[in-house]
Amino acid sequence: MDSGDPGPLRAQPGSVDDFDAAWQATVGSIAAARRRPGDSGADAVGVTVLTGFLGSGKTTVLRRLLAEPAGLRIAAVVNDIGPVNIDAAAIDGLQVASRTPERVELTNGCACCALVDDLAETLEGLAGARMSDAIVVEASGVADPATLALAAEGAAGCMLDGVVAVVDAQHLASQLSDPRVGPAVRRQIDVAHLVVLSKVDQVDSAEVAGLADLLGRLAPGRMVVPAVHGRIDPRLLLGAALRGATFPADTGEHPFEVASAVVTPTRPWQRAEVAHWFELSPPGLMRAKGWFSSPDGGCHEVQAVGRSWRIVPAGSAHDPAIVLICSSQEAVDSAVASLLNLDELTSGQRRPSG
Amino acid sequence: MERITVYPAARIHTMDPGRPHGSAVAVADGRIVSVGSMESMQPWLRRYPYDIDDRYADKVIFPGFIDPHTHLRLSGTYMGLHYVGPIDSASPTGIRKGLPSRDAVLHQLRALAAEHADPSEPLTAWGYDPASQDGHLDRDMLDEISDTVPLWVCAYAPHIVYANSPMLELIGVDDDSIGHGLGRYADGRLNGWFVETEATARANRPVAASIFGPGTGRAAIDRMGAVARAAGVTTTADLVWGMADGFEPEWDDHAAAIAEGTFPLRIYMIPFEPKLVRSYGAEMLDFLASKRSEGDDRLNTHGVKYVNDGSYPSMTLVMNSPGYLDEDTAHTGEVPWEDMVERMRPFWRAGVQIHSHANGDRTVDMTLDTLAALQAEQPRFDHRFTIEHYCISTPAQAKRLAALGGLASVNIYFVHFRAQLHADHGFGPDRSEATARLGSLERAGATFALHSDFNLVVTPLSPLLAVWCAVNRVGADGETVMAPGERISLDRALRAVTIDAAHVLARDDRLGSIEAGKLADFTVLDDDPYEVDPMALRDIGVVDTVLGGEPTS
Repeated sequence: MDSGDPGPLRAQPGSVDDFDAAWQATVGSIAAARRRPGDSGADAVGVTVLTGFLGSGKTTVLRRLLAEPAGLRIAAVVNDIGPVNIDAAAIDGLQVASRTPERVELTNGCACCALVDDLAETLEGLAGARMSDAIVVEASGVADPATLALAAEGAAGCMLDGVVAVVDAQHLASQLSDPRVGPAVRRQIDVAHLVVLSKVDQVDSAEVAGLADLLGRLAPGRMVVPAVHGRIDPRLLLGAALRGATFPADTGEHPFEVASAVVTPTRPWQRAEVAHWFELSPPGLMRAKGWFSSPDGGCHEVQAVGRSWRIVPAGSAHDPAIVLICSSQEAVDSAVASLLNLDELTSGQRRPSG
Repeated sequence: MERITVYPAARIHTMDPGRPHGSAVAVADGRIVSVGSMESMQPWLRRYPYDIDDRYADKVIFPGFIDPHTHLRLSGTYMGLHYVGPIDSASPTGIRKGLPSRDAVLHQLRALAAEHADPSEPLTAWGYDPASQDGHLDRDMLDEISDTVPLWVCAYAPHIVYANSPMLELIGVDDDSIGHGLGRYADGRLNGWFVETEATARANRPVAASIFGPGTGRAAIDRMGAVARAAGVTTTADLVWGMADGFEPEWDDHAAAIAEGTFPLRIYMIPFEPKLVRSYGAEMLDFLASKRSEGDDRLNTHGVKYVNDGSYPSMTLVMNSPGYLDEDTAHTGEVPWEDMVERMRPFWRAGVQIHSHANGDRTVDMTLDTLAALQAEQPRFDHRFTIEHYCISTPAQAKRLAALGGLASVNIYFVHFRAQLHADHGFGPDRSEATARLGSLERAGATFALHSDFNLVVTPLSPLLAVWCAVNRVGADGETVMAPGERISLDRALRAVTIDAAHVLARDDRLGSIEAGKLADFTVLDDDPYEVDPMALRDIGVVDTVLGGEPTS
């Protein structure tokens, strides 16, 4: 098969629990598709689904993100505001601007909202209010992230930005071998676009390498980002953080250095060519976002998380520019070089199939 | 009374403790004329013409089984999804065999396609497991089964959907389409795979439209009515009336199904309170009264329903200390708990029965506190306030429930299907073992019913299986008895699917036992539950049901 390979044969059906989860996910995915007949445009708010098993550290990731949102107004949707403990001074001196039982707003424009009724309705409310640049949904430890992702994809005014699974470096191996917990953890990794390996300071570097290897076997092609104390570059987590083509210099606080570059097309590109480039999934590409114009004059927005990508008509005109974030300088250099090849193709010329 | 029909039987269990047994039952005009023996009913038979219908002469007759808490219309919409997975599984119709290989799946799909009624609607199946069923399906394989009926097959882990050519057309993609997750053959042609979220969302849209489209609610009622009948059920109640498509459309679907003879059950529509309040506001009591007068003995409404915590299988119920083993994943319902007395007050004062969903013991406490507050404001007897599900509870709560005059409608199936799983997953060993404390309710003197909540949780809808669970309390391993002191007697368990279930639905004056003057609803069994090994209760065959004196077969 040329493309869209779902990877190795998966699924470990067996237990009643797993069967139930599979059924719930199936009907959930269909119910999610009921809500909206078509795709949202590029002006839709990006929704990141943050999943991870109990105690994996996803709440820590969320708290860090709200404290250091890269200038974005982030709305976090959680089951229960309590555990996020948004008042604590740990949210680095930020003040609470307003509070209701369902919503706590911070002075930096971020907010934490309780999930009411069903997720799609909550998301549609947030998207309609236009008060947020990005939405992060924290999945409860037992929720099926695929169903949540489909709900995000189906909510009017929203667009799934990506599914991020937080995996506990200390406990992953034992969780996977537990017949009751294993299937849920595997499902989370399986559906994720990006895997955050948390608590890497609690294990030695050989173990980290082993875990990366294990994750590579469980979910080939998934990008794995190590994190200490929940610190991850927001540019990796949120597509919205890639808006605009320039970044502040990296502060070096992230244990995992990423390399980024901006590619500026000098002429129109064929949509099919750009799609083909993303489908081949350049090695080490973690995130991409930007705009290009096509020979028919249309402006298109492109974005990618790991090997998942989409190209949609842009909501408004933008100067062509595409930001790439890769796992190393070599990877980003190579991605830039191959993407710039598109710039050399004349209109209508078809690249030989890779 | 024009003419009497007499059904002789090997044994009749009336569930009337005063006159528990019989060998013949006489019916006329939809009601029971007499139960006893051919000899005892002679005073009637001498006065009126009669026929003897001996089709059940070697069978065992019970009052029609009652499942007092289901969601047939809501769940039925999904039952059009055919299962093609590898493992045996519980289904509403019992245990469904897994399919061992891709060839077996293709064979099954071919058979389904051959009998698929409407070629413009997709044929939908789920549960395919490429790992254990010999690899992926693809468009060409599915085209060989049918190149006219759109085929949609969702994998067991639903990140892959497989489609044939007509389905690709319905989804609106062709070889020039662009998007992540559209699978292709080496020559660039679409191979019918939709992989990962964006692509599966695209593939699911036409299926969702077909599953929820006009007419699907009615089809669901017909389908689930047949499932319930096969399990011996003659009466049920829909506990979220109004929630899916609104009060009138849902009522009308049931009325049409009954009028056209496709729904062999009595059903009571119990409105979901938040939706009732939103839809009718100050007129809500008038609306319910008007529907009650519009309704009859087949379709009617009574009471009102609250949902005040999450579910047992999703581990979202609300528990007291020491709480969850790991992260607390509890949810409360739409009505804030602090507003509960105020919200229930108008119904309590108007004499409308309250059905209040409480799965966790913390929620049971809140519900009992609310009932106590209502009783203190305006004492009522025989109010039949019912706690629905009652999964995790304590013996003290059972006593308090009885003291306040409350009832319980209990989901017993989880004791077998899920309780062992939750010992180390969510609830901890003590509460998991003591799931559904029927023994405590019995000792406290509280009246209770058993129900399936047949919804989207894949456990069977079967009163005999519920009785089996209540009497044996055997866990999923097939051996361990879960909290032996919470087992109940066979007689008590059978009452809980007949006369006591009728009590919970406030219809024990006309349903739930075989007594002269009651509606002539029977469940006919192959074997006598009082004679078989208790572990064989779930295997007793349901031969037929009789509704208003008429066999439904």
